[in-house]
Amino acid sequence: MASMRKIIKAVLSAVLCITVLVVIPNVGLQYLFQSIPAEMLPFVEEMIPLHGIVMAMSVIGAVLAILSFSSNMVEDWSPIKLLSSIASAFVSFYLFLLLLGLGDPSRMGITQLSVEMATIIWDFRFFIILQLLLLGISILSAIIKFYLARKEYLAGR
Amino acid sequence: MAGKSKGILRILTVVSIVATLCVYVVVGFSVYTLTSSIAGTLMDLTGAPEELFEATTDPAGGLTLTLRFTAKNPGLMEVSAASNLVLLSVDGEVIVEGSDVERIPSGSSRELVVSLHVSAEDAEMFETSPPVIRLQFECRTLLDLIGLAISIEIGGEAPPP
Repeated sequence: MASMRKIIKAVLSAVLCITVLVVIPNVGLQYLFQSIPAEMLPFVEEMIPLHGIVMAMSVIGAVLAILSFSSNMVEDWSPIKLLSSIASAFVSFYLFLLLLGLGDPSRMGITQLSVEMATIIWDFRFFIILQLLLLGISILSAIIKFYLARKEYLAGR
Repeated sequence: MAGKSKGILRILTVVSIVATLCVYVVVGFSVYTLTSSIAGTLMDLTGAPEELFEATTDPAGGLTLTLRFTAKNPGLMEVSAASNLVLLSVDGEVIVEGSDVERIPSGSSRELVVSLHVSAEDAEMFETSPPVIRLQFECRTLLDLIGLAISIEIGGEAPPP
């Protein structure tokens, strides 16, 4: 049976995910669309699929909230905790790719935008490599944490 | 063994948190530097486009086209600014190409100059079929590891005299 402290921690972490990845982007998008002139909207939408990005962020936010909740509700020795931590790391990496690729993760850090006679290209591949390293560290950390907790749990049984 | 693993775990956790924060701070600084450099330079380019190009004709009929503009870096990190100018035929074939690169420290500016020499034959051809001018301006920062470029094509228009 999970303690009250654990439940509060799990709920708070899930609420934080929902706030940062679902509520703020959706409110921000509404505010952005209200503050820019109506005739500019099709032009902006043609360049950057803002609705698609916010929708994807909301789905990722919901997935991360579920993973975070389940991860915080179980003990450190539980395989659910290990799987949730690894899945969270992969989902976060996907979110980073999505944001750098302006809605298209397959661009892997190189994004090209064409606006009439001008083309804008950005090359952020270096950040993808850094993020991959962070992904590796997160997974390693989750495995060691699980191994230690599991060992302690089995010894105490 | 468990104590050693716990120590490694603690180090990994600290490294992971510090590295994540560093990545986000560097991403923020770099994006700000690149966008402010590109925007600052382009503001000047659009302000006085007629002063950008200088064309001189030699006695043999050849044409020297010089592109001169000031690249600015109001950002927080040093940038490497490169300009590339290409004249293309209407078929998309490169007639002549030139580039210039300058390193610009934070808060300063440098002049970029690209000179293209067009032969008398090509210069004569431009009167009937004007070339496509492709101007690319690129800024790279963080040891040239990340970059932002803008490429503009002015199709079938003769360069300003």
